[in-house]
Amino acid sequence: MLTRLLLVFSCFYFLVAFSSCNNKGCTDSNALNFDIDSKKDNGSCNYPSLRLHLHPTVGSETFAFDQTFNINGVDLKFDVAQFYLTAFNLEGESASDNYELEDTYLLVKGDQHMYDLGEGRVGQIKNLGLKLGVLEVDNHKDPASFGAGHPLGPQTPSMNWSWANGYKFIRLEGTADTDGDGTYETDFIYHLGGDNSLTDITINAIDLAVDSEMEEIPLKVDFAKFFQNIDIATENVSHGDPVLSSKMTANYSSVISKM
Amino acid sequence: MLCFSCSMDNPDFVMETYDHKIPAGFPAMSIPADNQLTAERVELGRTLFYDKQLSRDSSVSCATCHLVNKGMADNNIKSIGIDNLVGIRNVPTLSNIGYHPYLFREGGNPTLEAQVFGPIDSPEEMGFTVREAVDRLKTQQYYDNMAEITYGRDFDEYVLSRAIASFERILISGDAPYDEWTRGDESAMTASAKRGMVLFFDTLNCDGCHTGFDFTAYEVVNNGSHVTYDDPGKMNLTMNSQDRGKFKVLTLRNVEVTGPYMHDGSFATLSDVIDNYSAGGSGHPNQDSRITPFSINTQEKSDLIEFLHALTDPIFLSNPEFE
Repeated sequence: MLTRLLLVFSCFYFLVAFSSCNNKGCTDSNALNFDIDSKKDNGSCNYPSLRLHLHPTVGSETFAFDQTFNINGVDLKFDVAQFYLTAFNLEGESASDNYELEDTYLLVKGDQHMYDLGEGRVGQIKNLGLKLGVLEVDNHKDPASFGAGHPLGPQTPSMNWSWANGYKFIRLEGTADTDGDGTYETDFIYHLGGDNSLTDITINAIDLAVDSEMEEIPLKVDFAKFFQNIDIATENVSHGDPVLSSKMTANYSSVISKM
Repeated sequence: MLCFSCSMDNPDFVMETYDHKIPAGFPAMSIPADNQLTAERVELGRTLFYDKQLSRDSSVSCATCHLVNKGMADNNIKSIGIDNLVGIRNVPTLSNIGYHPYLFREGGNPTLEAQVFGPIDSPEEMGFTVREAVDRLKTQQYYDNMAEITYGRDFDEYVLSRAIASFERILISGDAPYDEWTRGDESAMTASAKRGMVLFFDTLNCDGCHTGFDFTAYEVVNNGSHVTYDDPGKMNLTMNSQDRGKFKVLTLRNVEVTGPYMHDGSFATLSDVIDNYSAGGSGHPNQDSRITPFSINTQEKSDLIEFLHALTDPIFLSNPEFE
């Protein structure tokens, strides 16, 4: 009798012990392979890739370099069109679904559409908050201190003002036909930045694209919006000019919108 | 260079500490912990300083504008860069640049290392980008080897900026006749220069701004040089109209050979500068209150200029370590 009890107890013990060992898996509900039955995380969690899919435009037209666009009645062509985005804050269905992407910067360029934002989380993203520019805590760092390929590292063309110890939040350059004679005689150069011009942008009701391993946020970028209330014929050069900077900064929040 | 090549195979290789000669009476120079001076770093920095490959068409180096016999400045009104493009400002001297707490004339850059990128990226100076300059140099054996020796990494922007900053930190000027006089050599300065020295320090209080061992406290002020300022100066940084026309006070060391003067090179001679100050400056609303009119006669003006000439350091102007 005692032997049988011992046998039953042993079987029960080993059953429980081995059951516990086998209940290891991904315990993070934000992961693709979340195992609701797992009691102990085994470091196997996989997360969806998060991407920003930008659709660069100039008004209703698709953006392209060296193509003529008409902005505020002026024909112009872009040679350089780029700006920084950061401080991505993703809002889900509930507060517990919200998360931020730390230390993430994108250098948005007119001819680039896809941007990797790293690992996301499973779940619906409702709203997206972000900032156009560079955070003050990073804006005065030495570009050489960032690793190769980092958006805040040295770029071509350069996005850093050594003389002002800060980054150009936007860099727009090209040529314009300001007198309407068919020749692009006027250079436009907008290098704008400064801690005070860091701008919050909020995109609500995002149409998230999801597949088995990826989440993609589609957004529209309208470069024409930078030029609202700007007279390109007379206000065509700024290397941080305070008046022109202020006018253009006021347009930042409308540059990016939902598709 | 052969020794440096051998060093790469020698696990016991240790860089040679650079003998940083600080003149008597000068303070110790603050040097970042990650960029302490070594002979190898100075050597690399000197090579880069003179390398015209840092410009787009390989025609301009740092040394193109910063000439040793011109007090590490030049005599152009404004800088002349790639394609003979005229820059926006007069070339400042690099005399004692390692002591500056911030760089560029409006004082917007906090480190000598980060400042390196400015001229390379400037369309009117080197007309290049740091990224492209690095891509050009990193494939060259000498730079590849030296980057490993000096900073233990591949040649990149970090190596470029740190090395040039290291070279710039040896550009110390402290052996002018004035300095010799302060060290006890009564014959080092002429009688005229001594009279000028009294005017400078006592009568006219020029040392209100041009003070200390380097004849500047590195303040960023409006010195009343212009009635209007096309170049906003510090206002570029602050967007504050009260900072229009404010520029960093430069050293007067080697000022005899670094003309023309002011941020835009608009004053051709030291006599012109003294005339502006004696008139009490331009009266610009942002003019520093220390700029007040004064009256000196012809002899006194000559003596004052003679004293400024006594700040010319013949050793600095011909130092083979700077070549």
